Amino acid sequence: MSQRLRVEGLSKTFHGRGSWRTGRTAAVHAVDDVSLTIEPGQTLALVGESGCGKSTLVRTIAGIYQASAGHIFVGDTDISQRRALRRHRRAVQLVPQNPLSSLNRSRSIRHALTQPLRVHRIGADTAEQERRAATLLERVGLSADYLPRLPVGMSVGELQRVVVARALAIEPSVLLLDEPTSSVDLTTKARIMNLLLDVQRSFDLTCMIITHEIDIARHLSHRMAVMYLGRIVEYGPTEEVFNRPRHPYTRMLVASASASGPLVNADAAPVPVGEVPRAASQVDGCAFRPRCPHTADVCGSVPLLRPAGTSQAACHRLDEIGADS
Amino acid sequence: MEPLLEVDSLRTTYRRQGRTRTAVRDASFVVHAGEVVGIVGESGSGKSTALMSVLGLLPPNAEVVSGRLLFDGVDLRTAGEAVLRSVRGREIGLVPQRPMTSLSPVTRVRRQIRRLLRHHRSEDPARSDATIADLLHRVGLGGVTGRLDNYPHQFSGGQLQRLLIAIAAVGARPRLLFADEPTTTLDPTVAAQILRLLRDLRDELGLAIVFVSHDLRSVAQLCDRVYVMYAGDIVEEGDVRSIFDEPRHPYTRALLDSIPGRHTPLEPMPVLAGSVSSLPEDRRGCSFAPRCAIAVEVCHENTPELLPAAGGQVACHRYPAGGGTPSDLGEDR
Ligand SMILES: Nc1ncnc2c1ncn2[C@@H]1O[C@H](COP(=O)(O)OP(=O)(O)OP(=O)(O)O)[C@@H](O)[C@H]1O
Ligand SMILES: Nc1ncnc2c1ncn2[C@@H]1O[C@H](COP(=O)(O)OP(=O)(O)OP(=O)(O)O)[C@@H](O)[C@H]1O
Ligand code: SF4
Ligand SMILES: [Mg+2]
Ligand SMILES: [Mg+2]
Repeated sequence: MSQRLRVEGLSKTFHGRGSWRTGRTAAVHAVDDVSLTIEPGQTLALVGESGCGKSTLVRTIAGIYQASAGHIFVGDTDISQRRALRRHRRAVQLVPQNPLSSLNRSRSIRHALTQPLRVHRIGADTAEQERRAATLLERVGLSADYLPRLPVGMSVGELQRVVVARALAIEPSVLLLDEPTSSVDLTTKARIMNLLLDVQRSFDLTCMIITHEIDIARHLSHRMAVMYLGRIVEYGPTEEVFNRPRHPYTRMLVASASASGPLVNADAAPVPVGEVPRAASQVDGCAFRPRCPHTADVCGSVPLLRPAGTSQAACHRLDEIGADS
Repeated sequence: MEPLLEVDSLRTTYRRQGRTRTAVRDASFVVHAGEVVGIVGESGSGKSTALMSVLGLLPPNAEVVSGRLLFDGVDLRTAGEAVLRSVRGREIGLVPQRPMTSLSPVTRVRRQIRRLLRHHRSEDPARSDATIADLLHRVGLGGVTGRLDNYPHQFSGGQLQRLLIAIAAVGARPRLLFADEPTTTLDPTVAAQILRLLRDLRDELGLAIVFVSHDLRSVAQLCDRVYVMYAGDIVEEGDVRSIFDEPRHPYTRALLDSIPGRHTPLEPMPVLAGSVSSLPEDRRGCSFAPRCAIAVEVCHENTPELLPAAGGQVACHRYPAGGGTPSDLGEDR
């Protein structure tokens, strides 16, 4: 049974080590006041710049990090409360960004897939657990031949499929996927995408997919959220965000990855402007300001999400910029 | 003109649980000075293995069985460890596929950058902070200069990736750069910035680049020439336009047909049936035959040779006679 995932005012701050010269510690506001809802059985795609806090957001939702502030509801249960975590951990499964580092290098794929079954007491005996593991491998386009193999001898694409299979093993109701299709070839990507569409339907899952590939976000999701420097800057139905991007950053994203037109066209390569931001920085006002071609005095204060068509966007100058159509 | 790198009939195998598997099967490729060469192909087809073979960076269970690896006329396979050490990093820079695994998790990032720069260019320590700041700037990481005393896990994957690109491509000033999936973990605006950086390095310094990527859009934008690998074989080679505009090998066609933006959202995509991993080691015939929709008997019997074709080379028994279109290819929906 899929359940609604609702995130309210979620923040995660890291207190990192700062410069040894100034002795100041740098706080990194990796996720800053994020609110999102994913309806049962739907997929939200989360896109955004490298380092903007996407992994931190899903890791916090999955309970790997304790939230600095805010709430996470699965159905009606607030799982951000420390006490609630254990009981509900099983409902939310994360497929982590780096498959190799999330697998025990010295244990077989058999072990990786049957371990969660043992922990959650799924399957009558070892033989049945093994059968389930083999079935899962087949569902992700591998075969039972992989059961005795070690992660270290496998390619990135093969490992990606293993970690997707492992997350599905205990039949979660919310699946969070951190870059599930990065570093694999296109034909495998197509398979993983079909796999995700298929398992989402047949297991009735609520999904959140992180990807920096806007094509993939579009193909897999009902709604899309665009994150910039720890905050959501645009949020709406996927086709709307894709066809009528509102926020200047979303426009840049959509333009730089536009699927139409010939592939080989060197001169069309977009040249993004400005410096890639840092999460720790204290940008006054809109975080996108240093790179934004539309910035004005009003951008000195932080813009909040507000309705724009059927989407929402966090930009002071939406009316001046208008919508792409 | 002599190529800068000439790999001739490279064969590399891995031993795994007492069995030997061939990962690269008599592959030949060349890179000229100032040229950007793309390598694309199925995951597990041997792209990383080929690069690591050239650099002598294979794991202990791997072996370069045969082939010549001529870099600037010197065969790196027989030249010995001392020569390899002087080539690695300094002459041929490497951006490895898994950035996390090439940095030590327990050493602060600043120290690791210094160490790498010192190895590559006997960098004067007094200048190194300025050099580092400059490097970071070039890859759009100016913002993290204040956080270099952090450990690698405190940076995002994309930040580490750019850091390694900065060191390998800019800091070490090599003549050839191996970039193994340098942009696939980056979002499009940053990837575009990295592509621009690589292109500038080629234009300004004549840097030759081998660009391994699953991101066909980046390959199309950056590369002059492209090799397509499948199951250890090079199945097609050509200038970038012929690969993207007139792909000839059925695998290349299937690859181009897998670009998601070309299909209806939320509906299954056409996928290539079967999997590459089920190929037996002692196979006969074309590696792609079991998955190929236009395969005929000879495809299962004889290995097709890489033969000249307009603008490149292709290894397919049915070229040019076959001429199937992507929609003829096996689809299991
Ligand atoms: N454990 C940590 N301690 C301190 N800072 C951290 C930690 N983990 C992440 N950060 C910082 O928080 C910010 C967000 O990182 P995160 O990994 O969530 O980004 P991301 O959007 O997933 O990036 P990518 O697309 O590159 O994976 C970055 O600036 C990163 O350096
Ligand atoms: N250390 C290893 N031990 C045993 N087999 C290995 C090892 N490394 C790679 N292989 C195998 O060799 C083959 C080629 O792998 P390689 O990593 O070169 O592929 P690739 O083309 O780079 O794939 P990807 O696109 O996924 O990075 C694969 O079948 C892989 O499973
Ligand atoms: S608020 Fe201002 S600076 Fe920020 S995106 Fe909008 S126009 Fe640009
Ligand atoms: Mg991440
Ligand atoms: Mg590889």
